[in-house]
Amino acid sequence: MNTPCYDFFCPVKIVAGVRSLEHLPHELSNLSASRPMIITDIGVRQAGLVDHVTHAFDDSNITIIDIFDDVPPDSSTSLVSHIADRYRQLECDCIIAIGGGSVIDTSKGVNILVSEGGNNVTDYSGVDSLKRPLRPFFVIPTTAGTGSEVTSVAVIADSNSGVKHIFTCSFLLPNVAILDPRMTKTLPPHITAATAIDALTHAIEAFTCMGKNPLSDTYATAAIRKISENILKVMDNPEDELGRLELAQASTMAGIAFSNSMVGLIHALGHSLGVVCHIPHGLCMSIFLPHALEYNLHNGQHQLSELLLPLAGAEVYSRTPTDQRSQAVINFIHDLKDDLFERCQLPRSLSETGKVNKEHFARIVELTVDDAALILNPIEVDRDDAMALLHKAW
Amino acid sequence: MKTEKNKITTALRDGYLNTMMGVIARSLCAMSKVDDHLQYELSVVPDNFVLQMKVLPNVAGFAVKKNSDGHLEYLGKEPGEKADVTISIKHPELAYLVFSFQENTAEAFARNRTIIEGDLAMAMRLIRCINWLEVFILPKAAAEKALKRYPDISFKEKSRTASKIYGRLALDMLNWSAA
Repeated sequence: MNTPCYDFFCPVKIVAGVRSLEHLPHELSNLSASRPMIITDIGVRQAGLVDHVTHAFDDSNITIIDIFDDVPPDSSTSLVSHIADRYRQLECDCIIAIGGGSVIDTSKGVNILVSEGGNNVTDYSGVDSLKRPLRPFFVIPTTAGTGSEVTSVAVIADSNSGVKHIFTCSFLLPNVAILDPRMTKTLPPHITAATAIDALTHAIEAFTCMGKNPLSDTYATAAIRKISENILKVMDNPEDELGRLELAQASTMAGIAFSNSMVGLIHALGHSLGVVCHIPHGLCMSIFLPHALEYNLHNGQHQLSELLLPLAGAEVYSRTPTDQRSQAVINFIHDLKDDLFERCQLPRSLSETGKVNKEHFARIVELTVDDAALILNPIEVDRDDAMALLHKAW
Repeated sequence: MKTEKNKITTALRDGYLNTMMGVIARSLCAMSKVDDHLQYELSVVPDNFVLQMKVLPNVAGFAVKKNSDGHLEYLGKEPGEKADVTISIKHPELAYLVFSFQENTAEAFARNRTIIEGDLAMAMRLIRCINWLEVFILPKAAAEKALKRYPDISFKEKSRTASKIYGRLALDMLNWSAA
């Protein structure tokens, strides 16, 4: 049953499709911006992805003022301050973020400082600390998984204490997100797989957790269908531009779904595993996805069966008896993990990562029960439940 | 314009919210002195940590602080200082849904009826403490509505812990009167 009361908000203009990067100069002009700063990381730049963006400006009267390409995998408050100083010195008037979650979160932090003033972004941490729109902000994702281009959240670690500060405010959302298949074409197979499963998890948790609503359900099921239909096609043919575009769109749709309904147990476990063992987020999602769904199912969760249709298609759905559809969803995900393991050795269990040992479990459990995502999981999870799940995922 | 009847209904509702929140806050403080499970949950909460729960626009609320002895101290309706975690319910009618057990805490979060400011991990821990308290101070039928899962405890255990909480609460109230 859908929750009878909900908020739904997504004001981001999505420009998607082949050659959509070439829309960017027009989008800047629409917002009276003409002095862009590009924020990215060295891997993205070395892969030649920034060049696609800069070439899009060749025939325009806009000059890229600066390219900052040194964002690390985990962003920090001092880095945000440093980039903001540079932006001010060079008198830039907008930001173009090109990258994955870290680049996008860093850029959100920079946009806070250059719009609101000050040099310490933590002054604006928490919920709804910003009270007015920020400077023009454009996001070009280079992975198809995080959905950060449509989420109003940024996580930035304090450079001194290491504490992760959470910023949640609708003004953090970019004005425009560009989904161009050229930007994800060179993703290595294991990252393509892990990020697609990350997007799949966003969509499944959006649909099955307590914050679900009719609008987020629509985005979630459409995202699941696109991922299911395209993930293996893209793994087998990485040059498949249309398949890449489908995954990128699915990631954005899943992002819209979960940012308007939130996530649950899989993310609570995944966040904690990531912190303790430094496992990439998408891989954490992939490991826990079927086990956490099974836990919820066996404790009374009912919505899972509806996902068999977008996940496995009409034929499988119609020939599966109603009471077996939920388990069929879980089996489908196990099979998908096996297929991805065959193609790119994406680990299927905690033990296969080679980075986790059972001594980590107690710490992971403590972080999991304190994770805010758990509150919207449809089924209660205590320490014993979380520990049992870790052993199951071993 | 509010009619006289509406004014009376509003006053009754606000009175009920203030009473319920006061009972929860004082019982939570009492339980922190007598219950091992609650003490374990509080053990990682920093000393002098202040939790505030309030109903906007300042209709009802409570604030508690963790002391250096590991127990919670009732600060009153307002904390008198900036709280480390504030859980706000957006409107008294929405708060009434929660405190009359028509909607549980998780449902209130899912329906965006609340705002949490501050450290989310600590907020989760303190919500667990309140949920644990509700297991013992509410009748089972009400607690089952307030929680996602009612824990597997016997009537005997529930009665024993509830007696300890109420005993401690009575003692605390005597001390407050004496002070």
